[in-house]
Amino acid sequence: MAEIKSTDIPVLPWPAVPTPTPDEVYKGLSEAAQEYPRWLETQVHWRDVGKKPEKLNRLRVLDVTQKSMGGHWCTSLFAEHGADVIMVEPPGGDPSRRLTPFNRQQYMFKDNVTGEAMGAKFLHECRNKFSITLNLESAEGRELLKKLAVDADVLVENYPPGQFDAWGIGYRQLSEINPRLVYGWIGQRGQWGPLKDRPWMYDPVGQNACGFTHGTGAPSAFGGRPTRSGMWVCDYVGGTCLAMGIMVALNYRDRISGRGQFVEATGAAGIMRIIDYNWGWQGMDGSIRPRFGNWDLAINIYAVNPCKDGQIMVGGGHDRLWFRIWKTVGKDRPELEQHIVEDPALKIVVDRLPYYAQVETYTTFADWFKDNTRLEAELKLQAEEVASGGVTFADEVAEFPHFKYRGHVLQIDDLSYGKVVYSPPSQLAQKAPPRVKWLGRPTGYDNEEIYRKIFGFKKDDIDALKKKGVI
Amino acid sequence: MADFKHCSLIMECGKCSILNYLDPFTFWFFEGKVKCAGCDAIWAIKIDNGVRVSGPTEGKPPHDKLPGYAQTKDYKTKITDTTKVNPPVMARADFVGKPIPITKSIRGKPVSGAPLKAEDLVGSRPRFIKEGK
Amino acid sequence: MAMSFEEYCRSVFDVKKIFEKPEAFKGYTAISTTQYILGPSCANYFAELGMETIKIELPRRGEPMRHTTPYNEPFLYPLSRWMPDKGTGLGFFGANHNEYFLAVDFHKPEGVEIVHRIQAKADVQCENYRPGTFDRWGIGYRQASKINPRLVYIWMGGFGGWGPGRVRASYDILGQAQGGTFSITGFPGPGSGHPAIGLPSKHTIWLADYWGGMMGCFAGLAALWWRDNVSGTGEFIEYSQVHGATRIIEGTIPLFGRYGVVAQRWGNWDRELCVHGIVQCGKPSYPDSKIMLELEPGQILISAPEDSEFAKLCQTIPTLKGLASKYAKYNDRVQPAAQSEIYTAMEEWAKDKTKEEVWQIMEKADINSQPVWSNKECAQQEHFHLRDELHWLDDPYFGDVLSQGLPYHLSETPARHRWVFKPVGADNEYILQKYCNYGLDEIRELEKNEII
Repeated sequence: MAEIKSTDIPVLPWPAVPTPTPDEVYKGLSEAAQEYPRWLETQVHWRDVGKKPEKLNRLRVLDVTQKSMGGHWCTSLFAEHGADVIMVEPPGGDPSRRLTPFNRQQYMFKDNVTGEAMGAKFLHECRNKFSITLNLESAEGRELLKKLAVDADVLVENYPPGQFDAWGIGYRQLSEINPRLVYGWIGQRGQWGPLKDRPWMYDPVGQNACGFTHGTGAPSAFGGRPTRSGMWVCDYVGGTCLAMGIMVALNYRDRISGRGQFVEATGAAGIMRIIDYNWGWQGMDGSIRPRFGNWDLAINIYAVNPCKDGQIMVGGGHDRLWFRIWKTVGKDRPELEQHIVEDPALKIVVDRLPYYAQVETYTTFADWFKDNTRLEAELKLQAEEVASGGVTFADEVAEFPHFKYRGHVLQIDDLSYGKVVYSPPSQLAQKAPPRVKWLGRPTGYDNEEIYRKIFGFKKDDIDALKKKGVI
Repeated sequence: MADFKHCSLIMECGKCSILNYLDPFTFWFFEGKVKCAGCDAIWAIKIDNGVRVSGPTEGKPPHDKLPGYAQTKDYKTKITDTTKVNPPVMARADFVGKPIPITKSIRGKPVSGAPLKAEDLVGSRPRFIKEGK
Repeated sequence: MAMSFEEYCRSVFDVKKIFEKPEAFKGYTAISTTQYILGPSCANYFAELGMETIKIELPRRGEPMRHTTPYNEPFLYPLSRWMPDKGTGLGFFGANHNEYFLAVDFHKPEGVEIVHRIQAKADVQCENYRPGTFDRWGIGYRQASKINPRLVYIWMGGFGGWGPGRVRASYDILGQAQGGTFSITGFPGPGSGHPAIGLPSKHTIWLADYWGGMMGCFAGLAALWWRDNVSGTGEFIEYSQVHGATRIIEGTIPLFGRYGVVAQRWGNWDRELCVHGIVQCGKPSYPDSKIMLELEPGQILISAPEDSEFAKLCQTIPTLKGLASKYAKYNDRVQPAAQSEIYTAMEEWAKDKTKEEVWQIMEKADINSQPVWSNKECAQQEHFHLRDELHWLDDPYFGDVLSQGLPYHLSETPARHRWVFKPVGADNEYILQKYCNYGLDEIRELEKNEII
């Protein structure tokens, strides 16, 4: 393998505005008020993760998924917590490596050895993982997978339902080789049942099948229609569910049974689990959850509405906040405050929920918003201790002082991909925190290392496998 | 009673003084004619980024859009007729908007969705669920 | 093998056998000192796994979500044995299954004592009050970890407990708005070449809350594994839902960081795959319905992103025939203008069809598709009931309720649902006996003094 050279990748400066210092952040607070946040900061700061142990570094996870993000997201959670995650990709790499918005090659990320291009979406979920290639279409490749499974704790796959089983590498077969193996499958609707997945279904199949798309977006009265998530949200939610399921199985294995399990999670079921009260409501009186734009069926005020320079969220579901919100509005526009607080129909919290009450509320509110930017509105509402915040875009997210300070957004100096701004794990921990050590690897980057390490292969063996197209 | 003539999204009708609410999702960027929910007068109006830049000036039918909701300034008359204002977002045909007593689920089995009295309880449980009838 | 894969799955994941199998966390105890959704949902995922999860609410009215329900219509009664004429709103529904309900006013010293006694025996605590509040009250991680060093304490909140924004309150959609999920969801603004125009949109579910709870739960499960197999010690976890919303927005941050690209919205189509978008069908599926929603045109995802699949799609949809060679290659097809042309042609074809008709045609042509279903349509799918992703619960308190099921299937130690929730303070006596060793008179005294 070629020596790693530092190449000149043009990188935009980040952060453009310096991150605030602790003294700036806690300025003006009494010592007592500073004590807790400052203590907390010393316990969970991202700066110190390198000094602390990892939780799952005894586990080896095989990520045998491709073409979508659910499996990769799932194994990212393990990789962040320290597990040894090996992506087992088809020769040439997982096709989702090459996904980039509108196929714009100029926005890909190249590693500085092979120059292979990777899309940002894949790069973000390639963290801490190794990449090897293995052709599962060949019998020899499948034999190698079996051998890999011997010493693995977890295997995650997303092939068409029953495909691995037919190939002799499904849970039934691998659990005989390694009874301790926790085997996870992830899909959109399921690998069994009348609506089981057809081959290679991707999100938003799951979003549509679970009622999510139907309930998202503006109502037709506002000119809207059912709207999918801008992300492959079912992949991410389903992947999180699978990770939970696998972690449960590992707990049970290592504490009690010594045996692995078969785990299945789907995007549709993941969202169905968390889609509010949709099922209870349907079951009680046959209600269909309608789309309600950026308003909420169950809370008023709890919405995102347009303002002078974008959109802004304001939340205040109970009385105390309701009057503080209108007090804020009243400082600029007393007639609007008066109009709302004197309306007998809006006196009681629950009376504010019906549709026309919400139209009245938010139209009146928006008449104030139109003269205020996101920041102005937020500051004015903050003065009354009302929660609010603008809809922020990538540029604003990346420069948000709070996010930079806390490391919601960080820059890594990656050995392969240079300086990249990314979002690290969102769970901080005191004793053994999750972390990002490297951002990604080009296809098959670790073939040499892994095949030598795990199988004791020599150079000739590896060359022969390459020649036959097995790896 | 306050004056709303200078508001952008609350359109006080110049004829019948009813307040027409031009909801922000529909009307934030709008150029066209709105029909007053109170007296059917047609008002041409232009709203740009939430700010009314012209109107309302009286126009001729047909209108482009109905207001989101309308009521009188004393709150006494509320207009929810869907030929006058935009239709509401509804989950069922029989929208109520206040607690509705429900005693049977959609498949006809008992569910405790109606207010109870102390004597309806066994411990914390509704008697009719506990006793199965 | 004798058994087909389908039969095998149906047997190992058989929902009728769930209660014949062990629970992964039998004998564990979790505390849920939480309100709204973020914290409660996290604790709920532990409760589904067999932990005895004690939800501690303020006495009488309970937590705020009990008073939140869509359009103020459906409630489940009683709110408590003391208030039979009030109910719990469905906002409370998805995040409190299987839990035990204790009402404690932990502002008072007697309440603090109760919390300490439970903490001494607990494995997990989920908490989502404002940062530092529990510390001030003497029941936070610093105090609890002295009582019980094995406690895994998961604090969850909006902006986190430190840093310039730590004092800001947060809600689900504030997390979504500030974290960045709004910015890439919904129909694009003017000038994008997309025929539909719209604003940034929320994810209608309380995504940052419910999914944030899952992220906290995963970290908690990993901490338990680490405690039980490696370190023997508890852990403090801090989860910020705003951070979560930034973590989940795919490559949006690297794209900006490297190239200054600010990702925008692309409606119901896909930035990276084509054809892989939602097409509007002209005809409603239920023309006789009295519910306006059901009179709207149907929507269906049609997915044929590979070149070969697109060719097949062009054979199936007559209005695409003319575009078959023009857009035969992925790179040409995925461009914004091409997407606009392709989907417009598809909607032209679908304008006299219902989503079911289109679905049938796609199934016959062996092309992936999925209609956009409402919650009513989902609830009618045998598939989801068979797999326990939806189930009718015979709830001991509230009777026949339709509930969400479990988010994952485990062959050996499946999670399960026993009840949706209980009234405020329903388990006061049981929990105070079991965890605090209080007797009847002491409990009566606590009740009289409005501690519980």
